[in-house]
Amino acid sequence: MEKSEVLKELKNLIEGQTEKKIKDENQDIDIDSFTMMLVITFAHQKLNIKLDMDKLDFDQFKSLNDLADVIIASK
Amino acid sequence: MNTEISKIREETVQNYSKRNVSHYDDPMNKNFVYGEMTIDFVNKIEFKDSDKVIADIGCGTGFVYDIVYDKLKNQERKLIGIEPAKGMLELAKKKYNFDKNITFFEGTFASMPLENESVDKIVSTLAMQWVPSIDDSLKELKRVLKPNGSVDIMMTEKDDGDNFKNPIVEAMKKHLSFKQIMKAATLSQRVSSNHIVKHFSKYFDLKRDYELSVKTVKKIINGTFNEHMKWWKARSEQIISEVKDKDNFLIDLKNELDKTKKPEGIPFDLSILHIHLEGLK
Repeated sequence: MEKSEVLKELKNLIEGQTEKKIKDENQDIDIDSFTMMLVITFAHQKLNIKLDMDKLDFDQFKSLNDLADVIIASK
Repeated sequence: MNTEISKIREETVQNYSKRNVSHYDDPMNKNFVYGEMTIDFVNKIEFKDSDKVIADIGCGTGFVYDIVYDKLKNQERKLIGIEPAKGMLELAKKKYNFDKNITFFEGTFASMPLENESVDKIVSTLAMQWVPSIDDSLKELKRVLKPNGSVDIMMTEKDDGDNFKNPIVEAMKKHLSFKQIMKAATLSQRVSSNHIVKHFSKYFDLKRDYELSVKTVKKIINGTFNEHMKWWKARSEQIISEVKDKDNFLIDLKNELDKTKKPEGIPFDLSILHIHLEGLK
């Protein structure tokens, strides 16, 4: 999956849970730990990418762009 | 949600069973944050004369029946309580062993030991947020509910305690790994009224056979650190057990929560869903 597709899927997932619009991919998305867990589950189940939770940190969940980079780097 | 998350939630319920049951009925746990709202919700439920079989799912120690027993006691009415945590179930059974019309069973939202279309009214307070899958729960609820039956559910909404949880996560970051904090995050469902409508519409024909109303109720509950800790610790035992230095964790927790303190106390921003489903057949 291309980064642009990952960004689109992440945007849908996070907006669906938080019910808040994300205007751009570098915006601070301010998501809670439950939504972070949804992202981790999404990467595993939909993209078959297992994010290593021993290496993840809260700072990597700041924006859609950060998240997409983490997911693509974990391929 | 994946099986790993489901397993964590199941373990949490089992852990409730292992704890000393005496504090389940502690007035502080019942009355401080969610108690008043629960009493208010239960008192407003409309029980019809035709509601001959009533089931409380996730009944705990029988708190709902404690509130409305006098209103519901009737030789022709059968009251049922279903609860997965054995410790709570035993306490409920003991409390109501004088009335043969009340029966308590071990079971869950997704697996109720009840016949198809056997229940007139399903009630549940502060239990559905703990289920591993809302879809599995609603499928089972549909199975046991009579076509003209009704449902009243009170559960936490996705934003419940949002501002209270932020300082808790900050304190957790000093004592737990990202992975451990993520484990805590999965303990309960986080749904909005829109999410609930979507879930119900998968199993109930809301255009023809059922009427659904979902309301979000918000309230601020102020309290001291100790008041909040009493209910929060009872609810968060699983994650606290993973903290090695519990004394310093509590100090950090107090420092973080004190930053949110107002003259009235430390606020907890309650956000609750009131769900009512009515069969139209």
